[in-house]
Amino acid sequence: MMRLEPQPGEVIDRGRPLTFTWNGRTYPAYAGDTIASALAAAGERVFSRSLKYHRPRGLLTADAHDPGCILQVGDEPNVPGAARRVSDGMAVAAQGAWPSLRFDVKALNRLAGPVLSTGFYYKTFIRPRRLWPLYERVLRRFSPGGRVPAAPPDGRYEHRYVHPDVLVTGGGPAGMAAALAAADLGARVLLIDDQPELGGHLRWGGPDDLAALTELRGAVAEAGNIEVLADSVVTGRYEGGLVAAVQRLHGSGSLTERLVKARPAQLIVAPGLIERPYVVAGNDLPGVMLSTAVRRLIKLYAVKPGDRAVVFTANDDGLAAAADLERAGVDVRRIVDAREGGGIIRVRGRGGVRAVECADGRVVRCDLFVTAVGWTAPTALVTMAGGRAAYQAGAARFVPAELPEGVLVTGGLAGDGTLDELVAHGRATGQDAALRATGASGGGAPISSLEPAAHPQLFAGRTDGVVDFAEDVSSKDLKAAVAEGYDSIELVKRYTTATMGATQGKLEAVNAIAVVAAATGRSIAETGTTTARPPYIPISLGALAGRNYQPVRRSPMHDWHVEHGAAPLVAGQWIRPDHYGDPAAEVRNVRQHVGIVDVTPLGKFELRGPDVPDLLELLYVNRWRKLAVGQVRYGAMCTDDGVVLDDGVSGRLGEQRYLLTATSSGATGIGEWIERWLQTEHPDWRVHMIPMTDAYASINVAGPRSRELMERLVSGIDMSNEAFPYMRVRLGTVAGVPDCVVWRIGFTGELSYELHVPSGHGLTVWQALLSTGADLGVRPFGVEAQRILRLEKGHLIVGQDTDGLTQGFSAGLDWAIKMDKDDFIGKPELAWQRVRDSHLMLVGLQPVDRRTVPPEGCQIVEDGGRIVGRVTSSRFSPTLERAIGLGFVAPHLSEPGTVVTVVLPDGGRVPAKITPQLAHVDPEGTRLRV
Amino acid sequence: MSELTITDCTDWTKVLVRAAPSSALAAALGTPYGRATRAADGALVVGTAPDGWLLLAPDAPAVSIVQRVATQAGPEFASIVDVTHGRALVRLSGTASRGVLAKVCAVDLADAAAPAGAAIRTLVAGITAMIVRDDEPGELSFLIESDRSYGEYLMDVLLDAGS
Repeated sequence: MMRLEPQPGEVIDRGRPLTFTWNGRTYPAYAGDTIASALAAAGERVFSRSLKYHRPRGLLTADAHDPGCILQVGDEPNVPGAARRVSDGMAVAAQGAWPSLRFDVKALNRLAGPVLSTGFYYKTFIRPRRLWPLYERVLRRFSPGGRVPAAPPDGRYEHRYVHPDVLVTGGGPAGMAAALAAADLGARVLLIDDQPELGGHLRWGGPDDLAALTELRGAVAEAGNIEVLADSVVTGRYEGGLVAAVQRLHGSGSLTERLVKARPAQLIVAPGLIERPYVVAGNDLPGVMLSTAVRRLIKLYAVKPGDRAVVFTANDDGLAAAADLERAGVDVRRIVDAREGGGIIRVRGRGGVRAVECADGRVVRCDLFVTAVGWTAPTALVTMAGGRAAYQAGAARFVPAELPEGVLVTGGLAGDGTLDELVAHGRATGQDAALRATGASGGGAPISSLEPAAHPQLFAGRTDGVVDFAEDVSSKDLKAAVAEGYDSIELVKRYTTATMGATQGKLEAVNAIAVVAAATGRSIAETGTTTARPPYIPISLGALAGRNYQPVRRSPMHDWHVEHGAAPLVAGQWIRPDHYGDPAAEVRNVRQHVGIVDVTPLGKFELRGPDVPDLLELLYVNRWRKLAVGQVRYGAMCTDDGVVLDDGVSGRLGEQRYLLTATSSGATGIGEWIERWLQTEHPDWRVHMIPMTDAYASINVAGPRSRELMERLVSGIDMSNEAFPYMRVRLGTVAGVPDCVVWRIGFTGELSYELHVPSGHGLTVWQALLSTGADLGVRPFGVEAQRILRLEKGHLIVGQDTDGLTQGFSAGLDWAIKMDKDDFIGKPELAWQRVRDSHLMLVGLQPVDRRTVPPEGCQIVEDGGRIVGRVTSSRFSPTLERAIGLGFVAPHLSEPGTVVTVVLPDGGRVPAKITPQLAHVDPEGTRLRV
Repeated sequence: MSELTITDCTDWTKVLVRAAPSSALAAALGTPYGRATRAADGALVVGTAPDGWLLLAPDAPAVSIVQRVATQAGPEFASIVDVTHGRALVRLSGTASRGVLAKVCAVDLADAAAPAGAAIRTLVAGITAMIVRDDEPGELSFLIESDRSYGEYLMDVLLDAGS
């Protein structure tokens, strides 16, 4: 056992023991343990296999960035095991190793090492191209990562929007001080930290650090206007100042993760520093750790990281780590200080550290090799925000060089200092941010400078070692890439995949740059950095999806349809009744008796004002000025380029009151289209457009007996053919509901009335129609029956029988387009289309074999294969008992009686005859006018 | 003061008014765009656009509101339309109401950005909606108005977000 006696700042709760399983075996843990700390306490050292060569990997950083400790937890793959805390009964397993972590056959890749050279995949699997699917299947077995669950995982993911004055990311001493100072000035502060508790490096410091930590934490807890998000990571900074953070709540309640979308007035970036690994042969053996890793293990989790250690350091933190190791009972065999000329040649071992070979020739046997060779300042958020990072050779790190508007930095990212200096810098930065955010003044108090401390440039030894632990890229690979001509760091990155793994450069970017710089003979500053892009850390898809709310629109009769077995049809956001079991029977019932259909999604707009006729004349290709009160008319609209935009029936309800209808799918767009013309082109017109789509439940009553049915329910309207002829509108009371609009139109080709009923009474009227008309044979019909009925009648559907290229004269609208009108939208283009004769024509089609219905979208060809048209609509007509359709054909084939060739999806060809007109049923329109 | 209460107010009377911003009617209504005020008769007048208002009243019949506004409008061009049936209306009250809205709406509803009487046209869970800060005595409260067909969805979303 490697568990130490209680440590002063430990985060584990020894009063709450837990158990969990690791690869099937049960292990103990304490509440507060991470998976990695609990396993390390039990003496486990190997947690995964490396990506390419399947080398055993242990802990390197012992925090969320640890590339050697990505694990499967239950159904959840790719869990950072050194960050996720153990919960009781948790089942943890290694990923990607087969058949077991101890004996992994894929480690044979190691023998093939020389073959798996840089760019191996690019070079090897590029040809023959037709074999790629096979390559891909095999390669997938060798790809890293856990098992993606087949079913959506349990758990709840949410989004939350916040608008703090100041957002501080990083809850170390400087971050906490910044939050406190900003809050003191009245700013609303959001403080985000990736650890379960605030404190940063103070948490593994000495007694003074722990005392300061207690004081700062206490002050933050007491401040009224600081909200702390622990266990949360800022993942990116986006346009408009949007800052995204993932808050992890695993095991702490009903919520799993939350994506927090913040728009702070000021962002203070205070992530501290990230310790860099050292590139040398054997640097990925289990037992090679960073100085911060061993200090975390000892101080936070009371875990002894090894028994015998060699420490290689270039700074005082390495010495502090050595002291911590000794206090923890680790035999520190040797401290090699680079500042005194010490060096390391290689780490020896197989499956774990066995010895370290020093530059002076001494070989020291040990099981733990600790490095402290420098720090990386995570400048990603600064550069994502538009700032710049520059290399400071004296400090051996990139530092923020230019700060964009609204972004400030403090703590280790800004520079180094004593605890007091860090806190003072944090306070001044917090004050400055608060004053900027609340607009109190142009800027706050002057911020004392915090300079990065001098540090030797120490990146790689004389031997080659791993640079990118996540992608298994070595310094040898990088040198090979340079030798092959990839001399830009961005190209080296893409060619070798260095910095492209889960760590995203946090550990390896600077080392990679240093290796490339050395190989190209340039300086690190000249070599430059790769571009940091969001997300900063891996994010679960669940967090991105959130609750995934999908808007749904329902008509007032929706529940009735569901209760009566309607098959749902998702039409945009609407859910509509497609049919109630047998659409063909529904069609026959409309033709023989009477049917009712819910057409509530129909776009409806009330137009008011003296200038409405001017608007209608502009919007529609046909004439409207003489429309009298009580009349309705079919109208078609085109866009500026003459393409058919929408169609529908509009009516004049009063002297200055019109109701315009648009297609269900086009409704929202048409509302915006009308507003656009009114607001930008004709603000002088006195017209108000009021969207009424949802204000009316709309019901079409269709069939030869529809008048009889209507007469029983309507009051205040004379329903006789003489008093209420075709294409007229009346206002009245239906089934006791006043203020209904009733118009007589004929989309189905039958005598029919469309009712627009105040929505709250829609269901009442719907049910009244059904109960009152039972003896007349009234039945509901769905969207599918309506589509068949309109196709039998030859009425086009905009968007189905037209597309984004169909101009007015192609859609058979010649009769409606009035080129002698002064102006209308699309007129110039239509004038041009009319004088060309090459455009496709919409025609009626009847397959010669009456039982063959060519699916919609089938091509029409001639001369063996040249495409000359397509089928836009097709159905089997229950009325004619034959296949019918609409389609586009080239003009030379549009003559009635022409037989064209339709290609079926299986390649078969069937002849179809062009009909004299679009209508297949009742082309004379007698049924409409009875 | 309750933590969270959700009430379906879809049966409230709703009257849409359109008139020029410079009109006498606009002056009489006295509510600028983005604000909501209570009229003498108790109706909530919401400025939904520079030239648009939505009048919300729990029990007054639409006819009486339409007539009153028509009288105020006089001969100037104005449209006064009963849209009671066209809109869904939900009231969300209590200390947690702001937190619930923060899960489905990107706008800042803190006191500084949305004080009592603020009216904000925005997206709520992907649908166009109007949020009116309409505090009740001693209680934080928001009215949320959307197209009626989204009503059930809006209710479902708020219940889910507040669960």
